[in-house]
Amino acid sequence: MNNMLWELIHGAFEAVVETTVRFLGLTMPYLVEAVNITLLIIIAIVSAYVVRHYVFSWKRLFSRDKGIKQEFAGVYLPSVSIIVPMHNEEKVAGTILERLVEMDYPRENNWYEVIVVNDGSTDRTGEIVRSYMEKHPYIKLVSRDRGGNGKASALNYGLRFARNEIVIVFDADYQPPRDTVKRLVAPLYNPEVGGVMGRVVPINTPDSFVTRMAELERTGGYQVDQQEKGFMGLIVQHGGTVGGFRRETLKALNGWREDSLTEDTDITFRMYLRGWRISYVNIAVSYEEAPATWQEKARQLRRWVIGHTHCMYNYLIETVKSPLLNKWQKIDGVLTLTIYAVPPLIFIGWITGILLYLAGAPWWWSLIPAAMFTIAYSTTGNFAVFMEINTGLFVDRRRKAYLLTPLLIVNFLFNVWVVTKAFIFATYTYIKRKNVEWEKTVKRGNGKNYYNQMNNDKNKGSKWLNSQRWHK
Amino acid sequence: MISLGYILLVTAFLLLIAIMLAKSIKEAVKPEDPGPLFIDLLKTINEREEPMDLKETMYQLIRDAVQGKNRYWQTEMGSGEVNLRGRGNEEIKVSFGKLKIKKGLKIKKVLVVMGNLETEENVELKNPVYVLGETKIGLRNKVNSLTSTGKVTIGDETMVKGFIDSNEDIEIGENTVIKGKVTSEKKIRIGRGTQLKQVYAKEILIETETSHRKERMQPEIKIDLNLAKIYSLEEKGKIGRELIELREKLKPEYLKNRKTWIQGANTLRIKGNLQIPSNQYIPYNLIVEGNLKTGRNTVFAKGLCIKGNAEIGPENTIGESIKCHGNLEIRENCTVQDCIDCEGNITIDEGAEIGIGDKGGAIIAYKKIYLSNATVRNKIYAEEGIEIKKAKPKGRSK
Repeated sequence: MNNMLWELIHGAFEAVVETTVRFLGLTMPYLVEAVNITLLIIIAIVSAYVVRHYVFSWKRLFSRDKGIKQEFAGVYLPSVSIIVPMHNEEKVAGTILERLVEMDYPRENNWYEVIVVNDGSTDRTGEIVRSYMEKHPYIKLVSRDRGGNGKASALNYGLRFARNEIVIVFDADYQPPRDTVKRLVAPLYNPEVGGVMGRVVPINTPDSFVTRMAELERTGGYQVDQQEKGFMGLIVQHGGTVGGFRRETLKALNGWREDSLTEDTDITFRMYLRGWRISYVNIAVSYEEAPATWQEKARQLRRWVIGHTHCMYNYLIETVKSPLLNKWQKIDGVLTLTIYAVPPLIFIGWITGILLYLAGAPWWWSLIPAAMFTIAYSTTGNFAVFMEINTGLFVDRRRKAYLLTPLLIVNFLFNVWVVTKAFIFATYTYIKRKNVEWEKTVKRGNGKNYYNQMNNDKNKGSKWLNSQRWHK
Repeated sequence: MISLGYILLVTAFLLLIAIMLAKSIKEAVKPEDPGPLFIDLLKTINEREEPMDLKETMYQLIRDAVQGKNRYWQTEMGSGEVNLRGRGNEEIKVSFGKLKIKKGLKIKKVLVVMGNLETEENVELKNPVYVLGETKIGLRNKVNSLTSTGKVTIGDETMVKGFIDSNEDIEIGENTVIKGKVTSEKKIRIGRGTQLKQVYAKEILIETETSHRKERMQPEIKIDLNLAKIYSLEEKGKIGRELIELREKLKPEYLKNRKTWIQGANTLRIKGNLQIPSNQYIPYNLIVEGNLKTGRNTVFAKGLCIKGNAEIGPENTIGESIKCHGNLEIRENCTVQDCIDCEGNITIDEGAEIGIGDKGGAIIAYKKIYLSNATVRNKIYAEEGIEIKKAKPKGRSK
């Protein structure tokens, strides 16, 4: 029975291939050769990612990079305007404002201002902000009725009211510690540095399996990927939040690009291509709320992929040609821009493997591409299971969290599927010049409760909490 | 035909996967590390963390001893002195009132002085000292670490293994070596020949034998760049959207035949080495992809980033900060409003003023810092040490 089925599939495949080959006027060996060469090229591209991320992880573990100095933190204090865009954020508005009120930064002579952009909220967001404004005159509320057009648009609106030298952005669900602003502004003494970026840590990890996976992904991405890019002088990607810019730089770039779904990636490349650099400050850390369900995660990931892919089409050639980037920055820039092309390559790899097998290639040869792509994807970027995530967990001293990493396979398959779909859609919308609407990530507002609970556990002497380096 | 070996191999493989996944599933269902990573939301930056820790520990030890809370401390009451044992079993001597330590004495205990402390020559304090009053350390002493609530004076040729800290002023004598941090809430004066690594205070005065910085002449400013043209380009939004290569006719003489870009936000980028003559006014941030040398009395309204080595001429003013990837030499009577960060050595001649702007500032070097008469605000840090060099004789200038 099985043999019959197999022969049926094989026969059907051969018929399809033969018809295609005849239609194209090719010969069979020529087609196999073409597939092999394509495969080798793809393997070479994917290997570049593997090498890049092995280098990041290796260096993070073993090298004593001098990297970005934090010696200026607390002694170099330029004036700052903090912009917090809010669109129906009543669940989280109070928490972020509390954190910003407690921020350790000089308040004299309008040296520190908080600009809340109420972007067409229909809930109690404005009311909550006004209650803080009454007690703290440095908090300003700027409102517009027609909101919800995306973060970039809200940020540009807020930028009009920012008066200080440095502009810092926090999302509404963020909880930064008291030292964050001092640490973020420290690298901006250097006139070449136009922007600065801090680390993001999800706070709602106990919410679900999805949030725990998200925490692992972020650990690899920030603690290893971003940190090493900063140390090695490569392209540090601005995350759009827990980060700052010189106001002059933003003005020179005409602010954030409003038609981009990933205004952070867009501004990163515009900055590097004009000659500025971005500093990554791993110790300037802030809590965020990560998506808690697969649907929410898919929505967020889809937005990232579409925005990022549009940036790839916009800036890839310019990055290669730029006279202001060195060769390593160009290579890193290209690999950063094309990162979401890896999942479709994995798909192509798997399909090609099957096709080669059916076309009569030795079975082990058809396994190579499939294995290669799987390895590549699991060592690369946010989904770097074995290299970056475990390295990040090691540096953070999260010894028990290692145990969870084999389950990232679920995340991996989910990501391959969502990213591939979104990448194809992004390519289509880019060719057709179609705008894709911004989709807001759902916030539950339970971050504060988790922090209070964690603090109580710490005071009770929780073993795993007390083993973490971040106490110091 | 499937062999037994093949079945065993597959079974072993599946077993390994099962063990791995079993542990993972256990961690997912009943987490031992449920996350998130703990961040102390109340953490702040404190340059005086180490001395504060010492003060806090000593305060607690004394309070507990007075209240008789901890049995393991042996208290031997004497006239004006109490001996305690700390948590690490270290011996602690608490002295009430003024304490004067005689010449050549070696104190092995941790010392807490509830009054002023004075030491004569060649005294050795082998453990940390906490003084609730003023401190005067004599000549050629050896000190472990010291924190004091009052003024601190460190005698010449003294060797300090750890930190020196005070709520008030600190005066450091000549040829002193301090291996730890020197921190003060107010002012620190550092004498000639002193070697240290890190200094933190509101004001840091480096004093060698020549007099202080002389009165500055008002710089004669020449505006060479066609500013009106550049500003009009910026207003039209032409700078920033595109990287504009500066046209030859807009360039001052010293930039002719050189690749120069205005990258927007008041920033000019230049490829290759650059030599700026005297009495120039540079209204932009300058990024030099090469070495930089400037003449006398040049004013940089903004900051400087130099990819190679830099020599800043006498009486130059830098309106913001300097970042130098090579070695940096700053000639006499220069002013840097904000920070200096250098990946090589820094040499600063007499009369420099650093970090005097509203934003604060500091000097940081990845290698060594050589300083003579200078005023620095906030912080000096050098990975390989700071050396206070002898000032040049009066009247000499480059």
